[in-house]
Amino acid sequence: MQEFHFPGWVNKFTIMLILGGLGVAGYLATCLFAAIHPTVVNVGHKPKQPVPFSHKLHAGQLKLDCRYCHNTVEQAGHAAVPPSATCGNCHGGNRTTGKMVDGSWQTGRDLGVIHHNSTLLKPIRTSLEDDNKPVQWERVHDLPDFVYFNHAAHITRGVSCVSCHGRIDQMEVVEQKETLSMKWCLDCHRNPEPHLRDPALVTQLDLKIEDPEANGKIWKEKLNINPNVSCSTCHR
Amino acid sequence: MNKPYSKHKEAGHTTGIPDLDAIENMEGFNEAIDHDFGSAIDGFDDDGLSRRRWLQLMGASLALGGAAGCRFEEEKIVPFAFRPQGRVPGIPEHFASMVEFAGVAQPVMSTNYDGRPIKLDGNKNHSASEGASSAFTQATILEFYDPDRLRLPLKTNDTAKHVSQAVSDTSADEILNQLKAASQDVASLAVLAEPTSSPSILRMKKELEAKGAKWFTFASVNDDNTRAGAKAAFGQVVVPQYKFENASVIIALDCDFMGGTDPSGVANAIGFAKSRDADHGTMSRFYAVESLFTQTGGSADHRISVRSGDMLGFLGSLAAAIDSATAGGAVDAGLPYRDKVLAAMAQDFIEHAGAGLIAVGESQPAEVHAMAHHLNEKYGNTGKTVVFHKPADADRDGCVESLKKFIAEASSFGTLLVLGGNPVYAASGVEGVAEAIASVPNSIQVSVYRNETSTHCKWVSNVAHALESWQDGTAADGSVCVGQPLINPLFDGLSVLETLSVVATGSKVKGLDIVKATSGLSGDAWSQAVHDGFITGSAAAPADVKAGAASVAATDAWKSDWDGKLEVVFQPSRGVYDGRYANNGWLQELPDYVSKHTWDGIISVSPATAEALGLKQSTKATIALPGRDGVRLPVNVQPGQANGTIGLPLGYGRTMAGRVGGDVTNRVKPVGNSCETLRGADNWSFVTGLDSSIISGSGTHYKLALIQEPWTIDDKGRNEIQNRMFRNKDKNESDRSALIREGTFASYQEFLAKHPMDHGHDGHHEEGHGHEAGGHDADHGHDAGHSSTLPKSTSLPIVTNVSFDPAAGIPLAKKPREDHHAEDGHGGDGHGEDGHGGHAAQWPEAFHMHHELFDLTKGSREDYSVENGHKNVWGMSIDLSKCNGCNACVVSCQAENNVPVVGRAEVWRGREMHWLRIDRYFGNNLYNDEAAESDDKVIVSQPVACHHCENAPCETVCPVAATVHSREGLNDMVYNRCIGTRYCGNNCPYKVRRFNFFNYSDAKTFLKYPGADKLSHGDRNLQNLMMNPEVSIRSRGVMEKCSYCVQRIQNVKIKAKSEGNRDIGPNEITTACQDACPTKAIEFGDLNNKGSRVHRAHANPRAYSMLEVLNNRPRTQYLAKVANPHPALVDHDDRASVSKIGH
Repeated sequence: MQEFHFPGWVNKFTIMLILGGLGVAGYLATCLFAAIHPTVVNVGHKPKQPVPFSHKLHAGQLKLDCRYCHNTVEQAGHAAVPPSATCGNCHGGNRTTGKMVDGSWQTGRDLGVIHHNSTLLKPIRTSLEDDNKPVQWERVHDLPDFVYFNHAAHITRGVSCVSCHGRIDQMEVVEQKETLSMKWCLDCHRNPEPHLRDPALVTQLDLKIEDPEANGKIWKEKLNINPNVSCSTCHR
Repeated sequence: MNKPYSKHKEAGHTTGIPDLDAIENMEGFNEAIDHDFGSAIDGFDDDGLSRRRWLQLMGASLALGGAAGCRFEEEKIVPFAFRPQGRVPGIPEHFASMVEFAGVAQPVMSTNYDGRPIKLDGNKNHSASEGASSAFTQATILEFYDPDRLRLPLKTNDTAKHVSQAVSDTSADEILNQLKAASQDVASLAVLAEPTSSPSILRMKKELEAKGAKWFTFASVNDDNTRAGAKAAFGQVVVPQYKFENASVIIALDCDFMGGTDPSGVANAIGFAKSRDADHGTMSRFYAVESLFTQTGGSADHRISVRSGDMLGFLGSLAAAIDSATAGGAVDAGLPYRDKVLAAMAQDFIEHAGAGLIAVGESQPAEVHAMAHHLNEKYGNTGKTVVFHKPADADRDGCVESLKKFIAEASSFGTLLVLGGNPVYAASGVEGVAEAIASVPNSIQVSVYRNETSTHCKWVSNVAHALESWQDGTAADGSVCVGQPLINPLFDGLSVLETLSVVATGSKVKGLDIVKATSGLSGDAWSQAVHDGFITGSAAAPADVKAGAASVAATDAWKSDWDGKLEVVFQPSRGVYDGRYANNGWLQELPDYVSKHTWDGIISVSPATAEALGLKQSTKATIALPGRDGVRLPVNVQPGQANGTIGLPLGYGRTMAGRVGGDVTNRVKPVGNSCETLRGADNWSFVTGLDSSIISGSGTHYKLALIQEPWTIDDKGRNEIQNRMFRNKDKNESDRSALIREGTFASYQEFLAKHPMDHGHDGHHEEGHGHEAGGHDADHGHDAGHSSTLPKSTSLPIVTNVSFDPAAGIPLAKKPREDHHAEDGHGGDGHGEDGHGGHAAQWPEAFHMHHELFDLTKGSREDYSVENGHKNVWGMSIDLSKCNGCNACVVSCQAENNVPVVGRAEVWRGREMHWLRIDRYFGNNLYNDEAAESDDKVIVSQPVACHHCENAPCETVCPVAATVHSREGLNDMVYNRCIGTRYCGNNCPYKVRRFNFFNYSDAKTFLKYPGADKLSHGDRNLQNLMMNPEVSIRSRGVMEKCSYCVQRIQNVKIKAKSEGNRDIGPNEITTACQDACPTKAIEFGDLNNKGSRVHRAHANPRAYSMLEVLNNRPRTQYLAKVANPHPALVDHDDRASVSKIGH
């Protein structure tokens, strides 16, 4: 029987096939890379909250300090979403128990409760009336579990909220502005100056600094800031 | 075990090759295959994943991995509705409380994270703890979150499918009704309780007894003999409290006073360590005389093995020797070795009258105790080295006696309350216990777990755990502890006190009110007591007791050759105690102090006994006492044990413990076999005069899950380890000092006289170390000349940048800090006497490094000096002189760092995950050739965790930079980068890296019941509650190892920064192992901070690093062990070989 030989053009075809295969693989890899890139996955994450709390109104127009609600931010790793009782200070009812007296229209108005009959605030009122039934907020900025970020370490060292969270005071609904990727963290740890300011002014999100770099340099000296880029700084 | 080679048979079809099948099924074939290919992936544990299942999981994970790519799982943030005052989410809180162990309160300090306790440590302010804890106390937290805990009350005769699930929906009210019914007829009530020191329980006991109730006390491991001995000596029941810190000569007879199984072990270890502070010139001499090898005996200066049954005669000989010894007398060098030890003991004892101590262990009969009390009093030791307290429950019967009474009277009771404990299992060798309990018409067991006793009771109440209830108790020093609940009861349930209050008064009184009423405190005093965890000043004054005369006849049996008669000694197991910790994975996997075995009860015999009886290591043997059924157990040949003594463990073979310890109804094989059945009421501690027919070895190989030996690869590896042993006198010092260093106190004193140490206190700069430096100007100049080319370090503990110049002498280990001293002008003339000049003085001098053999001139890869911008440089020191191998650090590390339990089969394959292990090295007495020839062994325990080498060998081989150095010199392990090549583990000379062969934290591989697909959601959540949120949970395929508790370092650093950028205190950061250590053997801190204890420890002349020759520059340094042998028993010591160095 005559032996079968592949015709000559097959050689060319093989090369084309290999190159094509590589191309397709490369294309898919690029797509995958782009699809899971933090810029795509994380930035713009804007979940709907159980209560449409407006940071724009409270922090922006009413100029409430961030730390009125996120009051553990200078001591703890977590900035701590406030307990319902904090909301209840203005929207609740009886100031001593933090509860609505009877949830009625009349009582609420008499006590000077703001938006006492708002249906949007109902989850808060429910939480306050039914002891320890928490409001379940959606997490916006979610780091992987193997990353240990500490708010206190940054806030007390002059890194403003705005550096990571953006202009929260202009957001009706809070959304993620930065990638929160490791590269993004390291960029700042390697070159912290542009993000440093007087620790007393960290919650002033609209603060205009003429030359952030120069200003940051002063505070870097002053607070002896020398960010660590060792793995165990964030990964334990 | 799901063996790959037996799959066909299990699957129920043939392969068509019958011959092969037949071979496979031949007995021993699989065994042999597994032995040769033990580490093949053939399944997880005995009942977990088979290989096929594993592959399925792999496939499924990949598929899911693709689908779940879009965004991380969305999380909810669930804040409090009302946050409690002072609570900061994510900041742990600490509460003082207590747990009771064997009738002694252990003061604890809990770490509560977001409201749940995740760790228990000792209470720093209580003298019986000083912040230290035992392995049992540490492991209580795992018991607390055990999914097998009773969640609902049980009504028996129900066949619950799982231990934790009650099929009958018996509500808590029904138990309450039963208790209330019992309160109507207290006169027919009997309580069978464990011994307790709780003033509240004892108060209610009195109330109940006044109303006619009968109270019986039983525990498998108890202090009957101790109490009987005290009663014989003093005429009243008192318990000794040892004051080792005041003792100069300690003689322990079968007494494991520092062991974890001693409820006062922590307090005793603290005192003992205080009596042996060689750096400050305090050193007691400790003689141990014992049959089995105990943890305490391993720390002895002289240890002779004497059968338990011959101990009485030994004490007689000792008393005679003491009486005939005269102060200033000499020990006759011509005596046989054992007589010489006895003479030295007697000589020491009379010369240190008032500072001597004879301590007797619980296993010894009352007359031995009484004789020891007599001798202690006669030589003025009572009141100084030992004081006596009247225990809170002095009026109770002995446990065994009480149990016998209960059995005899059982038929007359209407209601029985079994308060804790597990008498049906623990007293299974005593006839009639189960029947007696079952014969009571109405019986209620009050228990955290369902256990063997439960099936004999009508009702089982799911009592609130100790950590969930108010409680009180008496600590080792007689002070009253108050325990507050650390969390609300997870599964409801009344506490023990509340249960008793219902029975006593007919209605439930709150635990808080009971404890408060008992304490008699109110207002601020009460708040203070709850805050402190104990009532300050409540320690009772020692009882004023006078021992009557006693005499014991001397015998020769203890020193003559073994006559072939056997004795059996029961000892509480160092892992599971009397069986109560059988379902605790941490403790099951905790290596035994001496044998280093896990997950098994073993028969231990001495090598000579094993040979005489034809027993081999890791084979099974059957032991049967006269008139009792045989028990089959694996054999461990234990050097240093008395010939003729057979050690049997208590606490194994639990048939109804749970998914870890054994649950036969749910097809969980019990761990080990129960020796309780061999233990008769008349022979509670040991049985003597047995002949060799009681034991027969089967010769079948048994896979004993040993922790230490499997790391030895083969005979060559073993020999190499032997070569590196300090006791191997044929080898040169560099080799044999690689792992352990040791010398005598006398030589150390001599050394310190030549090179005095500065004992600076915290914050004090160690300028005074110039003498130690002995830095020559010439040498200094030498260094300076090289400083431009070689990195100059101030932190490196071992060998610095001294380049080798033969003309200038041999540069030996030179410590960097001494460079500074030289600069400070402290350069002395050095210790020129040994002719080396220009190097640091290290002790033992014989073990100096011979650097001419190795080029150690390269120093560290990085300069960690302050000048080079390194503020904090972390290091650790471990004092081998203080470590007694108690294992508390191992469990503490496990709790802190979420270290998984891997199970017996995986340990056998050498896949245990402990970040910290304790290596133990047996040795003959180093200083006496006669002792070396005898069976009298001692032990050096060496805790080994990651050394954080500055020149880390693991880092250079990692292809993905998953292990790298931090700026502070930590050897960081980055789990997310790790791809699991395991090169680092192979290149680590200390073998401290651990690989996750499975996803141990996964619900599918978590310890679960056979047949269950995975841990139920609720069980899983319960386990999650226990995890330390500060430490990542590792997944399959990554390496892990000790991180120096980096989470603690980071948290303190952040705290210091946010508190006005203050400096970190010199000893502010502690590691989990350090916290647990009763003897303070472990120190951790900043090597660049001259005020830190670890800096001083590294400057100690005893400091050395393990395998120094490799120039890894470990950050963990060991301090050489100091032994204090009697001069008459020293043939030669470490000084003898100094002259042999010859240059």
